[in-house]
Amino acid sequence: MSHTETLDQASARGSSRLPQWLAVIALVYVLISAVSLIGTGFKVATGGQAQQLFSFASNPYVGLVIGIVATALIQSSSTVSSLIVGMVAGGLPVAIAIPMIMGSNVGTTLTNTLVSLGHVRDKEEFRRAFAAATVHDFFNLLAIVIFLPLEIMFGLLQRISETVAGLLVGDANYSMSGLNFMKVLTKPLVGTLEGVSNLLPGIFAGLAMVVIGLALIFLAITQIGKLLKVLMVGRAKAVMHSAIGKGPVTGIFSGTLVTIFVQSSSTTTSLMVPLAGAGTFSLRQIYPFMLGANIGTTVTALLAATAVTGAVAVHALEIAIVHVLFNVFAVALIFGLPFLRNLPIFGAEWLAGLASERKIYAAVWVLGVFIVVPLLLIAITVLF
Amino acid sequence: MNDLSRLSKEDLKGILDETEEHIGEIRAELERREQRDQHEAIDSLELYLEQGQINWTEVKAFFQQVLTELRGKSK
Repeated sequence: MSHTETLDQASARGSSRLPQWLAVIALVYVLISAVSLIGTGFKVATGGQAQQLFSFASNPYVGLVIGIVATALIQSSSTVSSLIVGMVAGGLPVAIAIPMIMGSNVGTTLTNTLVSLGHVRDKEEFRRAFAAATVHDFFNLLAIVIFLPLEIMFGLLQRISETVAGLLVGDANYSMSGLNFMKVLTKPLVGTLEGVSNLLPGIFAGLAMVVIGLALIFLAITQIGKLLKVLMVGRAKAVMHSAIGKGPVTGIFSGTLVTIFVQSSSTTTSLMVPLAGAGTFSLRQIYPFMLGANIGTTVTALLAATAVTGAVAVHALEIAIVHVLFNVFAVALIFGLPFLRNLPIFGAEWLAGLASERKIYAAVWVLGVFIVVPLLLIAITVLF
Repeated sequence: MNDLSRLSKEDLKGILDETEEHIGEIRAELERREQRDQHEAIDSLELYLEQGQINWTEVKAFFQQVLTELRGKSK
């Protein structure tokens, strides 16, 4: 095959995929507009009293549980992180939003854990698949055990994100200095939806905006994920091929890149479950890839933050940066220190060994981590 | 083992070197095959993307197994 033919084929393939790429661009527009709508809706619904209304979530454990449960229910950390960015734009204090965004990291691991349950018919396959899924759970739980107390005591992530966001934004508008470019761009859709919502009285108009915004974010992220899975599968394969036989750092980078390509950490981490279940990749080989997925998924919140303009833009950017920093620091610290690095692997292997012998252990883990323990935490907080 | 005791130190070192070389070759071959399988799996990435979705029928089957396991234990 000549080089010219290859180029022609590539060109033909590119043009045949043009409608799909245009759909992705349109969906990103919908996503950004929806985040902006949530910001306005949240402000209207709370009457500018978001801090008082969300005082119940000022307890970081409650915020954490909200993040875990919301993400586990919606099955999309990108949707929840974008929603949180929108809520921060609507006045939710960044300090309250930080535990929520940490919780979304844990909530998202439910997807690949449920995928691993599908391997239950073969004991060995189930052991490998369940270990592959729960290594992600253990890592994310360990990250919270380390970073949530640091945040409570020192405001570590908030302080750094304030500095970084301040450097990036300054006093100007984040989206585009002076021009309010994003506001102009999203005005047609946001203005129409606001107009429709404003038919309702008072706070109901705000609530309607939040609900419509959330539905649109979910729709946009789901559809973007579906389209990108098709459009980017070739690039994902190339990245993964090039990572085979290389070290863990390459694994982390490939996990990050593939997740950015498909805009979904659930997709990339769930992809690893059948690969590990079949025994093609070992637990130690997929572990760095899972960590990369944590980092790659933070791009969505950064993208969502571009929707926010005006004085609150800096806060929206702050929470998006917190999401990035939390995941980057967690990978650097836990994977960087040998005695911490192996803890998620030991935990996953131990639990998978138990679960392959008696399935009740897997059931207790799934129900306990994602439902019972979060609800207990809330109950304890309410009672004491 | 008895034969080994009759061999000179040089012969033993020679056998050891040869064995280590063989082990290295076996390890390299195993690694090559493992990587070949991994490349083949990635070539079928679409299939694994499909398998990497929640199958609620299987999740239900899992919890049914758990219930069966619990009932079996209580009998």
